[in-house]
Amino acid sequence: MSRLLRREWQVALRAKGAIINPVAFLLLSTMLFVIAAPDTVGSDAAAGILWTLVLLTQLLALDGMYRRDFDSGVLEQTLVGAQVPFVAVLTRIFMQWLSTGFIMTMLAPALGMLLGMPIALAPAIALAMLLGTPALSLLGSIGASVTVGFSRGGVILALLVLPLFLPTLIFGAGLVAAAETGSSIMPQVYALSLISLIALAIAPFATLAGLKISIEMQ
Amino acid sequence: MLSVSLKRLWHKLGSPRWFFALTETWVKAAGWAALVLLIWGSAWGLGFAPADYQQGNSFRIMYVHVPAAMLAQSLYIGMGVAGFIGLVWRMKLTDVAISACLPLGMAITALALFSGSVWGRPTWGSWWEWDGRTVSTLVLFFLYVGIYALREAIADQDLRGRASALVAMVGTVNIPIIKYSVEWWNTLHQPASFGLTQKPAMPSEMWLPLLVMVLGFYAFAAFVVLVRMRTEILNREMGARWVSDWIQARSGR
Amino acid sequence: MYFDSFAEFLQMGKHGFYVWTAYGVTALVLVMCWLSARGSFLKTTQRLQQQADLVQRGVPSAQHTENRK
Repeated sequence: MSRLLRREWQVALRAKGAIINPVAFLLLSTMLFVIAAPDTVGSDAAAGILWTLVLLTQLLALDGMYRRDFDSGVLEQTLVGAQVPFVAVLTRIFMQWLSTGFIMTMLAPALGMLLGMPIALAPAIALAMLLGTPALSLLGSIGASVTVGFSRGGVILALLVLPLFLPTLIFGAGLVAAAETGSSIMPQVYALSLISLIALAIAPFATLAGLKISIEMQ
Repeated sequence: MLSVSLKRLWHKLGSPRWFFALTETWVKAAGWAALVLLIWGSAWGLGFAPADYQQGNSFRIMYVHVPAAMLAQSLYIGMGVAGFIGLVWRMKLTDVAISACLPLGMAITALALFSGSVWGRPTWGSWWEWDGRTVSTLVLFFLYVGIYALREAIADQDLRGRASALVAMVGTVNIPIIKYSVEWWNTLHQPASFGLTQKPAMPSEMWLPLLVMVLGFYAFAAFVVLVRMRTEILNREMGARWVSDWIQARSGR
Repeated sequence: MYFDSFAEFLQMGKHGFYVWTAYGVTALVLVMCWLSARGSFLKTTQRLQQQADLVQRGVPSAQHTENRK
């Protein structure tokens, strides 16, 4: 497992674009929103906007999740050579989260301020992201595994994955909204955690199945 | 004894030829049952059931909207179950079932959205409200479109089947999660609860026609799905001897 | 019958447009689903029939695909 992690880490370091590009997109799209609809800054809509942009950023980042290894044939080798393919997949998803979801979790409170949310909300925003983004990486991985062989996979990926993201979006934005009004955030905390756990239970198996199908499509 | 014959039945179920022969009469029965039930249910719901106290006669749209919405969900779950069976027991027939349910499911979901919208206008004043029901049905429509797009993108029949099965299964698992979260979202954002979400006890003069219509819709679905499955079986087994025998027998009629 | 006259039945107490649109479109969609399924089935059986005819006439099977539309 640690060998896998080390390898993933090395690959991630080399592919810095995979980390920077999504972040740049998130900042850029936030800016677009502020310019296009200045009234939303500081409004109740800000939390929802932030979460939607996080979702779309995750979508962008997912597209390349398996593509490079798929094209180079490394993916097939990894799956065949791994003692426990399940663990190899889980490691990859964890790295994906580390390079996207985790980074967004750290940035989100700052972006929230940019969108006019009060500083007091920063912990709530961070918590929501921390609990929700793993689900996004896990569920997104399923869609990425099935579409990695497609040349125009991006649109189909979005179509497959956004409905799966919906519950996380609802409870993630709901958590921040609840914190804003001062009501208890515990229901959303439970819901987000539950969703991430369910995602953890099904995503590695589904991803593995999807990758096998995609490899055979080559 | 029972387990042996059940196992044999299960194996037979995977045989397209056996399925084709078995459903020859089922198709006709389902078709006629659908016709009778739908006409009877519609007439009853339109002309004989009492009008709703609050909604007046627009509530009669319920008799076509609710069965469509129920069927839309059932067909998708059917695809998910078929996918599961296909992946676990490696039955090719399950992909035939998925391909048959898909076009009907999309049409019925769109129909549910349309009839719901038409029902909403006279009853609650707007053509579209973002509430738990509409969002859930809309998401269901996207789930269908996702599988459709996926199937269009994969040329190989076996891989297409496995990919569809996987996506249908994951989607099916997510349906209750999506429903629950959307309903929760709805209670926060829609303080006014419309009559549809709380169901007061309906008198039997009102829900009996609904039962007939629901049975009619499901019979119709069985009919269309079976026709499409039989067509697909013939296409896939085109070179087989039993197919040419069947077509000979058919033209001899 | 709930309604007193046919005119009242059509009007549905001023909701007529909505009720009949909903039922009409539903009927249309269901009929189209049926016809579409039936059309595919007939096309397939026609193709099978054509192939069977060719077999009967003794045309070697390699030539069957040329006759298929």
